[in-house]
Amino acid sequence: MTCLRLDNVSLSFADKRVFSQLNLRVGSGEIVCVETGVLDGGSSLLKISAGLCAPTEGNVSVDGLAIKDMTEQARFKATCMAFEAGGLLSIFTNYNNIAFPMLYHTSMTKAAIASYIEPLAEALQISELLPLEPHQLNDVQTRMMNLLRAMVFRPKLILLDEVQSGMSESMRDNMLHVLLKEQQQHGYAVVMTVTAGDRTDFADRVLAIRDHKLEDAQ
Amino acid sequence: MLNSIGRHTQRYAGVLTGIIGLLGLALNTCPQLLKPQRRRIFWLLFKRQLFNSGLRAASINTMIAVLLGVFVMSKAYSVIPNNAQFIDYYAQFFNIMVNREIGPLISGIILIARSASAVTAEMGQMQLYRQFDALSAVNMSPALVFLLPVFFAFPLSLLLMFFYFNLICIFTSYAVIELYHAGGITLMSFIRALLEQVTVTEVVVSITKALVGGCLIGLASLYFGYNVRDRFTDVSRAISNSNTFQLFAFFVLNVGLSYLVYL
Repeated sequence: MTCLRLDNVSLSFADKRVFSQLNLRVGSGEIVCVETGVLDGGSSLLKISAGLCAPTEGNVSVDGLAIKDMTEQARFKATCMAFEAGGLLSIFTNYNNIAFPMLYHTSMTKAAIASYIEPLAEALQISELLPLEPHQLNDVQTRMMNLLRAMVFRPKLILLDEVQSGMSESMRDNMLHVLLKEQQQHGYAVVMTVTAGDRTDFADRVLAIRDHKLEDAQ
Repeated sequence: MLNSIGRHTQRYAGVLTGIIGLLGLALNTCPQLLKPQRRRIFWLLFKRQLFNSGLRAASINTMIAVLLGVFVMSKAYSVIPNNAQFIDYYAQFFNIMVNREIGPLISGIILIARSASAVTAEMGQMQLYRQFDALSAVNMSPALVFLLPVFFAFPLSLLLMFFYFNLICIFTSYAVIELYHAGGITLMSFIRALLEQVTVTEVVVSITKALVGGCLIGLASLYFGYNVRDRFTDVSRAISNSNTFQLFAFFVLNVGLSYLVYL
């Protein structure tokens, strides 16, 4: 079954064309890596898929439903994007950046939410960062916190923007090990943008953005 | 000059329209509080806002109220007419000076200086660093997370500050009486004399000043903070514009209501 579907998606900012008639299908439980360069639209592709940016033309659907027509509750269950930079609200602690959306969208108790967050944070080796505030994190830690949030939400589709960037080899291996284990357990689809030097061997498909479209990476 | 007046009028009209829009959005978002999940997140954020804007202002509120209590009492001594019953005269003086005018005005100024500028700075920084994208990414409504807590906490904070300010002023005044007046006035008779001066109209006007004023101050903070664009200096400009507008609007509201009701 198709989880993410982008049909004839075009995107332009002022006079800059980013995508032109781009198409993509991602199956349920599939892992797709997208190789990106500088300013070629990798983050925009994920934002369009998450419904955070409206395409100039074309349609985006997750699990058969048009993302633009979803309620915030439905969108929360459908998709979550982990940002390459930022993505956390500075007025909350890192823990509350993850817990508050769950309090907002679900009827889970605080204890139940903690039972989702804490083991995963432990596995990702970022437990000690949870009580801190976003400004106390470096770039890699911010990306890890974004990843943790996406994994805790367990939506149908997780969108990861250059999550591997800047990580040491051991940290990256551990992060991918935890991600793949969780992904297999909960069956969500993953779209991850990657840059030079990032691992892609775990992906079902590797694509690249060329000439404003997606193609198989060579 | 006419051009300048026209520009300023247009700018203020734009601000007022924006604030009315925020008021509409706040009222429109209120039904979301019927959902238990939304209510619990609102409650957490509302308590945080009330703590920051109401309770943490208590120390500065106390200091100003103490100084004012001493000042008003010493003024009352210096202008008291011959043969007047001191306690009745002072109660009347206190009610007109502190309860009706100075108390609400100073409480409003404290709210603007301490909390409203903090909210504008918070919103401005979030806008500058595109943190509203983060909120969209987790599909949370900015109206419920930022607008409603301020919309409810600011009026309530101002009401608490009015009450607290008056209370501190009363006790300070009594302490000054105890120190300098040889008449043997008890605290109860002092409070009774003050309460006799307060009418239902005055209570209603004070509550109206707090609720409308607090709401106006809170919404203006959010409006100016949310309108920050890409430059860092936009944040300081937003705080400055916001405070100017709030001081002007709150002063007009205070004087306007007093003029309509008491004169």
